[in-house]
Amino acid sequence: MEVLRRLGVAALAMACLAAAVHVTVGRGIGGRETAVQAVRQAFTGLGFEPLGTPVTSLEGDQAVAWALARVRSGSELVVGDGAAMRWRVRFPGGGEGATTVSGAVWALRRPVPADPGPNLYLATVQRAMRERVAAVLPDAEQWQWVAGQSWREGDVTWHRARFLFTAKGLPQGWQGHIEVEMAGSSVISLHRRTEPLGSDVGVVMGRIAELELLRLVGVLGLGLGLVGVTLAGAEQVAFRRRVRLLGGVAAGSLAWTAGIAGALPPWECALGAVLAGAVIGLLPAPATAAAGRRLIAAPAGVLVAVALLALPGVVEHLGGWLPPRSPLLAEGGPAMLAGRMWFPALTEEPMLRFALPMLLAPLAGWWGGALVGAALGCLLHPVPAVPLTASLAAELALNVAMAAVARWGGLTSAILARGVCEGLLRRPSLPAGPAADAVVVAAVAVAFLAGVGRRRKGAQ
Amino acid sequence: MNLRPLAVAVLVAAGAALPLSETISQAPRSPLAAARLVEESSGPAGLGWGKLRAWRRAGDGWLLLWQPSHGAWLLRALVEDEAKPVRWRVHAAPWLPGVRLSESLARRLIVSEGDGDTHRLERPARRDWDFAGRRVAGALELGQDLPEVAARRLGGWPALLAGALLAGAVCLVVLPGNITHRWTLALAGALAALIAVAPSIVALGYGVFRVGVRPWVAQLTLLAGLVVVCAALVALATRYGILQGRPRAVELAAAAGAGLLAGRMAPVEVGVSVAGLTARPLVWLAVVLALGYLAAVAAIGLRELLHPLRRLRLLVLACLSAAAIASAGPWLGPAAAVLFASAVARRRAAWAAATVVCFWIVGSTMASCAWVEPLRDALLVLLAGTGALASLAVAER
Repeated sequence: MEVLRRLGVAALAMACLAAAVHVTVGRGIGGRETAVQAVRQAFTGLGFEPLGTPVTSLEGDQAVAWALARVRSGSELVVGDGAAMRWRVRFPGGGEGATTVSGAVWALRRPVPADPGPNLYLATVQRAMRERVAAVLPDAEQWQWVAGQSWREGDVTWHRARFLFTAKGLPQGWQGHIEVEMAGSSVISLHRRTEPLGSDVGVVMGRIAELELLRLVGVLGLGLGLVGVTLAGAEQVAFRRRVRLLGGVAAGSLAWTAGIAGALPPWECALGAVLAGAVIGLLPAPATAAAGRRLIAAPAGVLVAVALLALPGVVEHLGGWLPPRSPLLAEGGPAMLAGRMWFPALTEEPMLRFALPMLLAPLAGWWGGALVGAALGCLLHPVPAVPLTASLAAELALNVAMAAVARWGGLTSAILARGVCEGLLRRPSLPAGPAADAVVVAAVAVAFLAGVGRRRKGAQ
Repeated sequence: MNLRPLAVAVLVAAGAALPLSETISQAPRSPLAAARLVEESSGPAGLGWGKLRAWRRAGDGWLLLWQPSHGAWLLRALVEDEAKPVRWRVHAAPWLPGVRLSESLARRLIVSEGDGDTHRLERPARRDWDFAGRRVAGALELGQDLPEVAARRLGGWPALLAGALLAGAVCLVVLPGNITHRWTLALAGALAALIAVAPSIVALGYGVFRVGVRPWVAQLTLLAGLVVVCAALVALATRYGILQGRPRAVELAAAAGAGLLAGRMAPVEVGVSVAGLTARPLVWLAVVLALGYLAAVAAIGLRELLHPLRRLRLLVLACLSAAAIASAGPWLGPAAAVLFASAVARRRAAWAAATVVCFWIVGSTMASCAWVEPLRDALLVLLAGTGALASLAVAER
């Protein structure tokens, strides 16, 4: 039987890791290498050779990204996605550019050459611009002239023109502009700009504002929970029961570190640290779960994440819209991902899955308290959706699942499962790369090892 | 001869009639009457205002808010008590489409001369202009900026009361005494009734209604916040119950007098906004029970904290009362309830605190409202309360 059990655990571990690898590896935002190549080629087309190894960074506009996703839900990334997200490439020797995720040039700026060529007459500027830019963007002949201006700096005449272009990827009603600057007869910069349809962006911005308002209720609930924890801690002190101040300080420090690594605002880091520290330090120690029950953490985290990753497709099939749960983390690296995935696990789980059920147990039972915690938790991280209730329902499902994990496997299991789940959900919104993949897969492995380790200790 | 009814009458009458200097002017009209004034006299033409969603008393006037159900814009208006023209301002979502007017055309739209600071704001699909506070969005006149309501500092009194509340909760666990659950049941019933009429009290959430947020979401937020706070109060009352004790008429009459004085000395602005609701009696009841309970727990804590001082305790309480009158401002009512209840026996603290809070609301309403409905209700509460205290005095031996 022991052999069979070990085989089963090993199979479960392999399945979890395989699922985590499948959901993680290759799912980040790609196109970094293509971007460097495309920008380099474009500069060559403009007669400029950039020097050095460039620095690349991802930049994006979350509201526009969500608006695009809502209008064209289900479609793949196309050129128009530069409106929402771009790779910026900066060369140390001067010159920078931007490309879309699919590698189309979005913007370029090169240093002004010492000899920019002969100055052009106003009447010939438009033709010259189109000819020179066509080396980079072949559809330049189809652009529609909107406005232009010229001025003189020293001996060089500068021209700036704005064109309207038809981007195939943009939804109906969205407009694309391109601005080209020339010094003498050299193209110095070109830059695209997208003007979204007001109602498309409005729906998303409205939902964002609504969710920010609803989040205040969740924060209020956490604050009141903290008051309850403080009162319970005062009782512990009054009755001379054991208070784990050092444990509280350690938990608070860990939460603070995770928040800082996740580049969260200081007030959020402080609130999270106080929550984690107060719950661990002031409340009686949570009951130890039966040996081996922590094995539930990794599979539960992976299962919930897979279900939530599949949910947008289900909602779309039902006629609604639900974007991926995690917002864009443009400047995100492995450290930020680790911070963002463990911060909610370390701060919310102790309060929502341990403190609230314990405090409300005399009034509503453990599950009553856990459901109150789930209701508050579902207000903390929802994303804009149509209808709004789809996002809230998804968050509620995640929180109820974590409550079930906490009930079966204890608080540690809930923390581990939440960390794994958040990691898998947030991974696609970061740039692709093996380091970030490793952070998520390592979290799954750690969650599993925690269960195995516990089992061995219990067996002794 | 039983002189207690006479003492009750004298104490309540003293609280109601002692001459005091006015700290805020009485609101001459209800928020609904002020809203009618705006709807009849001014406001932006050709724009759907939506429903009147919320109001707030601001200095010597009413701030009123209308918003259509889509939430893309909202209208705020300031109706001052004196006969001044109504001021209004439309707030439009930045993504709303419009036109891009030149400065001269925008000035012509609002009939404005070319003086003062001018700012241009390019939006995604329109151009906004700000002419020294008078604004234009696209081709829509937005009106003039309204004065900002200054955020008040909390001061030291909330911290003192919170500390006393924490001490009181611990005292109720360490030295429990004879706990009654009737207060908890009454509190739970009043809060449930408050939640039941919540749709009619969301008008108090002036700051929650925002541009771009649909009103039903703002109302849902208020309702959810109210439910969370009420549930927390009930959980608190279940864990830290109130001590059982019989009230004493003269003690309660003194509490009533103190509450009336506190309300008349420092009326609270939110009380004026509550007076504009049709469900105000229910709100008053819930506030009396909730604040009375919290003040009683805090009073028990303060009493135990001052216990080592023995006879000097009353002197310290008197000094704190004088300090509260001088510096507590809108916190005078809760502070008076805590200080008065900590001067009486532990088991009668809840009765004393609730009485102070009840008559503080009456005094505050009578001092700050000049329209008939809340005055009538406050007078009814005053008469009913005094009658109940007198009956208690007659029945006492």
